[in-house]
Parts: sequence; structure tokens; C-alpha cells
Amino acid sequence: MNVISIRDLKFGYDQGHQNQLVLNISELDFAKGESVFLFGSSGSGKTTLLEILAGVLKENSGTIQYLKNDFHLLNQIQRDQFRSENIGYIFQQFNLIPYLTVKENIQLPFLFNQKKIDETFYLTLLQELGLKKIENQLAQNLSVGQQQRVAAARAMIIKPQVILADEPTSALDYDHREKFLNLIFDLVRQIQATLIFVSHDRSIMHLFNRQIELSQFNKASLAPESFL
Amino acid sequence: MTMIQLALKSLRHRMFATTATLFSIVLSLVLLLSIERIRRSVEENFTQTVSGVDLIVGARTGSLQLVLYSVFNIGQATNNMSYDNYNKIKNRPEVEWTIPYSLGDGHKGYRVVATNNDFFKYYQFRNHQNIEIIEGQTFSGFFDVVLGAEVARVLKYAVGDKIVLVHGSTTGDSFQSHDDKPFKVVGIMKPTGTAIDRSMYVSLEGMEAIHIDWKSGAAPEKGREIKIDDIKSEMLVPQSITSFFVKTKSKIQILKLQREITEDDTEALLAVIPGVVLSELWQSLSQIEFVLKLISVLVLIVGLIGMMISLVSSMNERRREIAILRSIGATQSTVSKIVLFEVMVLLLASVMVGSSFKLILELILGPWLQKKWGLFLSSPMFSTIDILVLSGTVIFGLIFSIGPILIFRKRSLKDGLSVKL
Repeated sequence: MNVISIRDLKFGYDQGHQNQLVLNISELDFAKGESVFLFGSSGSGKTTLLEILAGVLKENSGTIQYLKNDFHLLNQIQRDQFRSENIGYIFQQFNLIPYLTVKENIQLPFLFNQKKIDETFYLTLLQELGLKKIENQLAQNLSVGQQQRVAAARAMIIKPQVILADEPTSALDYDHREKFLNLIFDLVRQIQATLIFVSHDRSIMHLFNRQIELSQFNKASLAPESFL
Repeated sequence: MTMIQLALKSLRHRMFATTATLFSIVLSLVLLLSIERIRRSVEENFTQTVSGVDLIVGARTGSLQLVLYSVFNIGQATNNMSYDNYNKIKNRPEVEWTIPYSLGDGHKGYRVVATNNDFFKYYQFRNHQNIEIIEGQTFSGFFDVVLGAEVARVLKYAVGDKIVLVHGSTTGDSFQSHDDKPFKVVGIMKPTGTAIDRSMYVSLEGMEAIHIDWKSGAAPEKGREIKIDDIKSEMLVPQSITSFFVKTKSKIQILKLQREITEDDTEALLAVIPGVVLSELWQSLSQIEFVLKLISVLVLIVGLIGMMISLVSSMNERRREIAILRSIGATQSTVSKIVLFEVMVLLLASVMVGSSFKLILELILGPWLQKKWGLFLSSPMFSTIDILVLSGTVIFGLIFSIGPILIFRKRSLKDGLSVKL
């Protein structure tokens, strides 16, 4: 079963100029529960695709089926609402609001959606990601590794259908990278989410179910700058 | 945690920038409010130098001039009016009381006013405050003098001191002095913040007495002086006075009385309503008032622009924070609302801190202003203009913040979540 089906997706930052498209994807599907490694050189549109799937950027044309919803028909507010309930997002770094505690950061999504927090799941997350001891520390006092684990917890807490991760391991060293990834895989399995993981670090690609090189799907990536 | 707590924590996180912004708005507010209070006080001090007086009557001259020399110590009377006519008006049934004024002599730059004890009884200034004697008493003998507060303070006179008046001069020394007939200080008045503080008061009879042996405005020749002991009270009936204040029994009679005095056939007299003339005079000074107001409004605008600038720079630092909030489902308008709420908190805090700062400042500086400059801070502590300024600050502050918020809304849409710097 497909969680996301993309058809004829076109996107350019300068509305609609055919030759300035960043994305031009005729067909791309993601299945339920799979973990996808999405890679490509910088400038190939990986982050842009994630941001469209997160509903922050709006495609110029094309259709996106998202958990049986016509995502492309939703307006900005509906997309924000959809994201707050169904999508977990992890950044490369600086994922946290520095002046909030670990707990406040993890529970922040519930400020913006109607869901109720699952306290037992919250404790499970703390336990599994080893955040119990630092629960009440301010985010600004954490190490990078701790910050990324808190970010993972925040992405998972709403039990999303889809987790979008934009190079979340790039700030971690090799040991931490693998540990972090295994934690993520564990949790993703628990909540049966689909993981779309963007990275250019191919040393970890074998850990994923499926590997997608974006340039094979993105016709717009033949734009001159992608040769650089 | 609620959205409001989130906004407050964010404000606290940027404590330094927040405080600096707050400080700049508070400073401009305090300036604006203080200028307004001082302006209000000056106006009140000015227009209420004399209160409770319905008419000022004197020989015919300009109405402004009459008020200036009768109330403010400024300028000279060109003509006197007859004492008979004064008595005639004084005894009219509609007149409640009068205060006669006879001017012309001075002492070390201060004006000497000859009057009677009705002055101490009836003269009122600023919201019907009466003259108070803080030391000694009012005059009873011919050669008694009561000093205004500033005269006593500057010249260091105390009750019991002897002083000599000089003729015809209110500024500086004159060679024609009344040194044969010195006066004794019998009382000192409480500061009023008006021209009274800079005057000294003697009885009409005292004024006659020192001029009794003068002929046509010149000092007597040697050997023709009349000694103090030879003066009898029946010799001291004044021939003329400079002007007088009138209080009528009923306000309705003011205009009729004014007309009848002005139309008197026997003498060319002028009667003016002091409040009207003083307001007219103040109006003519309104340019200065306007400039004062303009400057302070500009200061406030600069303060608010400062807030706008610091908002822009803080928003720039906060793009990451906004992206995080967006990534977990906050809508554009939620983010804007959080920022707007922060601005509101900042503005309300500025308004409150500014007002209390102003009050404290006035409490501390009030007595000094009064003593040093004779400026009484008028009540109330907050005027409608102040309320307008305070609410205007909040409203315009919010309007000013909309610009930066819209810019960042647009930018964050373009940025997506990756914050392209």
C-alpha cells in the first residue's frame, strides 16, 4: 500500500518558469512502513522535495496522494494542520528551541494540534532515546548528539505516519550516527511509520529498505547547476 | 505549556534585547509624559495666577497691559484711577469684595504693591488657594511690609528687618529713595509659584505716607520733609490707585458691571475678565506649545522605530526558531500571533514602566521644580492626553510591528524549513 504517490510534480522557486524548475517528477511512490534513503548531490532538490512533502512549500502543479488524501488540493492552513498530526520532521541540526527544556521541546507539537499526549509513549521515548536524566535541562545546554535524539523524540511523539529526516546525522560522528539510526529504525517500526531519509552520506545507505537516487526521478535536475 | 508561556519564555530568552527595546520606549514615553505634565502645569500656573477674580479694573489702557502689570509684575501703569471712583464701584450692591492695588515703588528690583488687608483675605490663585503667611502676620501699621516668599529668600530678610523703598523703580536702585521712612518686615508669605512671590506688600496708607511730602512726583526739598511722628491717619486718604480686583456676588452680573465701568462718564476706565485675557495670551504662545508637543511626539516615534528595528533583527535571529515551529505544524498566522503577542507584552510593559517612572520622577523632582522654578505640578497626575499617548503607543507599536511580521511571513514561505540565509 502506498502512503505517498507523486504524479507529474513540478516545482520552481520562480513560479512556473519551465527552465527554472527545481523538481520535475513524473512518478514516485512510497510504501507504508518502508524506510527510504533518498540521496543525490547537493542542489538536486532533496530538501525541496521534503519540504513539499511536509506541506511547507507548495508544488506548482501535479498531484500528491497522501494517506488517501488529495494533498495537492489542500490549502496552506490545511497542510499545516495535516503536518501537525501526521508528519514528524527532523532537521540537519538546530532542531530545538534553545530556551525550552527537553520535555517542553518534545511536547511542543501538542501546542499546534488537537491530539492528546500519550504519557506512556512519552516515557518510552525518553527511555529508549536515553533522555530520562536530561528531561528538565534546557535544550541550549545539550550536546549535538543529545539534541538530535530529542529531535527524534519530538518527531515521534505524535505517532506520525511519515517521518521526514533531512540529513539528521550529518552533525554526528560515525559511532553516534549508527547508534542514532538504529534507535530511529526501532521507533519507526514501533509506530509503523514510513521514513524518508535524505542524505548524501552513502556509507549508511545499506541500512535502509530502499535507496532512491533523486536524479533518476527528477528530470529538472538536469538543470545546469546540478553539474557543478 | 501554552502559547502564551512560549511567547513569554522567548521574550525572557532574549532578555538583553528585550530590556534594551523596553528601555528605549520607556525613555521616550517618560520624556513625552513629563513634557506634557510640565506644559500642563505651566499653562495652569499661568492662566490661574489669579483665580476667583471676576474683573480687573484700571485706568483705560490695553487689556493685556492691565492684566500684565496687575497680575504679572510686567510693565508699568501709564495712568492711575481715582480713589473716589474705586469706592463708588466697591460700594455697588453687586460687588462682593475688591482688592485695590497701588503700584509704583520698588525695592532692590522687587515690586512694591500697596493694598489693604482684603488682599490677604480674598486673593486666590490656582484652584482657589488663599495667600498664607508662614511667618509673622499681615500689616497693621503704616510702615509695615509683608514679603513674598522669593523676596524674603533671595534678600535673606526676616521678620523685624528694616528696609527702605525706592521711588518709581522696580528694577535696580533709584537715587530717589524713601530712606527717611523705612519699613519694617512684619510677615513673610508662603510660596505660591506666582508673581506674588516676587512682590512685597504694604498698606495703601503706607504708600501715601512715604509720598506725603512729595510734590508732583519729586522728593521734598530739604527742610520741608514731614516727619513720621507728624503724620496723622486722616492725612493718609489715598487720592488714586493703579487698579483693583473685583469679585461679584453672582457671575451673571460680571458682563453688565464690566460694561457699566467701561462706559463710566466721569473717568476713562477699563474692566477686563482676567481668565479671558490670560487664555488669549496663552493661546498666542501656542506656537511654543506646539513645538514642544511636536518634539516629544517625534521622540516617541523614534522610540517605536527603534522597537521596529530591534524586532527586525530579532526576527532574523529567530528564523530558525520559526522554522522549527513551522515544522511541527504551527501555521504562519500562529507564528505571527506569537510574535504579535510578544510585541504587545513589550509595549504594555513599556507603558507601565514608563508611567511609574514618570510618577517617581515627578515625586522626586516636584518639590525642586517648585522651589527653584516656582513651577507647581498641576493635578491630575495623568491627563486625557497622557492616556491617549499611552494607548497610542500600544496601538502604533502594534501597527509598526506588522511590517516586520509580514516581511518575515513572506520570507519564511520562501525559506521553507531549511532557512536559506
